[in-house]
Amino acid sequence: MYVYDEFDRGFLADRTAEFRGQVARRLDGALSEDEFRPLRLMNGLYLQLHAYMLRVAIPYGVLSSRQLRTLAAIARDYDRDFGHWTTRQNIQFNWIRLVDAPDILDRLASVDMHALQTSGNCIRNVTADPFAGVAHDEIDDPRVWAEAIRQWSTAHPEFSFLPRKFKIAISGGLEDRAAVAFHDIGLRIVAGPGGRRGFRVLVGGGQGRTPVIATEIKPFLEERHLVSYLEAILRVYNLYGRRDNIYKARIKILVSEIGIERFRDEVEAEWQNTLAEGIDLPDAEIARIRRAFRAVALKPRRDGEAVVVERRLTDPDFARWLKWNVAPHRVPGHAIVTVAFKEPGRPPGDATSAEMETVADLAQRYGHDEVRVTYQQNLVLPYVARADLPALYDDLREAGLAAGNTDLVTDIIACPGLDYCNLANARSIPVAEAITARFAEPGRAEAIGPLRLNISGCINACGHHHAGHIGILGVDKKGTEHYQITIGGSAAEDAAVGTILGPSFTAEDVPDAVERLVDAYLGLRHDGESFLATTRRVGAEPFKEALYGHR
Amino acid sequence: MPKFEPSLFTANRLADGVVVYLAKGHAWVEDIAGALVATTPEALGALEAEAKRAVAARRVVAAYAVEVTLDAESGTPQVRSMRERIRAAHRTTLAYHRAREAAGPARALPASDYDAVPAERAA
Repeated sequence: MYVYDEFDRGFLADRTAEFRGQVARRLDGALSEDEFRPLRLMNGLYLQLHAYMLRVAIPYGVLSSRQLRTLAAIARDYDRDFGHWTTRQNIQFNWIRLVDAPDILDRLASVDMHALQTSGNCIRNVTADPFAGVAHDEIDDPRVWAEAIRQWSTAHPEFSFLPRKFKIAISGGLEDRAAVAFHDIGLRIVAGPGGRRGFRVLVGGGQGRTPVIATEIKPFLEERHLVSYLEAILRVYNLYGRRDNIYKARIKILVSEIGIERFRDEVEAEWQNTLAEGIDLPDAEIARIRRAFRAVALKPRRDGEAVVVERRLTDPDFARWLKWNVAPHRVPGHAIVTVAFKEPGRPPGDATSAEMETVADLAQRYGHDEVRVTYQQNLVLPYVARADLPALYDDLREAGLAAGNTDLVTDIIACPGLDYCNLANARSIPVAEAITARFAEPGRAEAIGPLRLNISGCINACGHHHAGHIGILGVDKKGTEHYQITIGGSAAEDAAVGTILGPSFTAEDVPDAVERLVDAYLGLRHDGESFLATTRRVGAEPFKEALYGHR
Repeated sequence: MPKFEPSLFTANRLADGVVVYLAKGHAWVEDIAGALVATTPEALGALEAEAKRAVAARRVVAAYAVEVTLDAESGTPQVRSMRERIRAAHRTTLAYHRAREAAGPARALPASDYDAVPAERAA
């Protein structure tokens, strides 16, 4: 893992001290709310429906067990004993007292964590493949480059007041596990000519009220030029991006308004400047960062298979968990384990302090002390010996974290919705709970197969509904909560925006509607065909008919 | 001229952000049952002036008026929108989860369940 140096720690100490002073001045009246709001937002502190909400950055989703324990302690000491994994690999605390916020930031800083750039019109926390460094299909470790971007973008003076927020995602495998096509900039690590590594650079993707799949701006960028090229894109956006209309301020609108060709030309021209300025990281610095992410020294093992096979044959719940939550590791005899915070009936992504501490314990016991957060609101243990899988499973089951449903219909992504969010039109969490209750029988969800169901409580789309194989969007219809349903979205390599099927449903009718879509799929699918593949083969019509009958 | 709807003032307490309602004696209370309800435009104007003073005095932030329905029997104010009902309930999703566990298997909740589960108070 990357460990902060004295510069990082000094910077954080200065920032938390500065915020402590700002809070004191707000409380004693030297600062008005209008003056204070942008300052607290620069420190991740929002005023939400019920209270202040603190969004803590988890850079590229990587946590040590010590850091995870600190998050648990904050939940216990300063909140209502739980936090919420966000859809950008961060964590939110929902009931924070303003007067406690400086102490919380000090606690975070003590384990090299903070809440900077988790809000505001700046470059936000970079998200990455949660299987980074261990995936069997990895070309290069995206954490190296995500960390380089973190260092470059933190408090970047030129990019602290962009037209709008700016999100970058980076994926290093053949499979895109970071939803890069739905980001302002999406980076895919690729192998280039002569064995060189680099990036396929996408630009102008995003969700929200105008969902757009990012467009390729550069098929191959040499890795050593990453920072200068990003700087060029940001400069062009900062110059030409609209500031007169918040709904038209994201880079996706600029790219679609001027066209990718002109945008590319502008970036290429600016890139000559940033190259000449020499802002790319020196090779020695990249090498230093890379050393921080040196792979845990794992030896190939053959001792695990017998216990795993024996347990799989005798325990169907374990077999299911093994099938859906355990992914192949680059080192034989080891595994990547998804810890599901998606037991049917629970609020997606909510984690109690006790659960966080359990995972921290298990990471120490079985997982080389490291945990990852996924944008699907689960946790990942990236270094588990297959021999330890039965014991780990038993410990997870005791903690209620052994649902074997990753990527199944009950592994729902949901934003906090109207239960917490000032922007929401409708609740997300109760709808997610009701749907998971409907499909709670594990064998049923498994028989349906991979089905990503995503719920957002408003058009801002924090619940990634556009990218759901089934997407559910909460809308306000004459003062009541209604839900619009889409199908066919995807956040993977085959990224697509879902198609709206028709008029919205009340909350009570949503589980029935989802069930009708699933039944229609089961009637239409060919052998081994996923929900998404079936929707692409047959189109939306049969699903419209399933929901609304003949019209 | 549109009919005047009974209204109260709500805000978030500055120091901890908790949802509060303007009550008697310049107080801001967490329980909506204790809120002062204006039944005339003049009374609402007085509540607004009081709310502005509380904002200036750094007791609360984000103060605004909410229309309510008065319970026919008790006269207590009932907010109408789901957003305001959720605010008034001070509810957490975790409590929601625990209530579900106690109640048995999860099910689709009608909107009225926000009234059925007792409000959870800040510790």
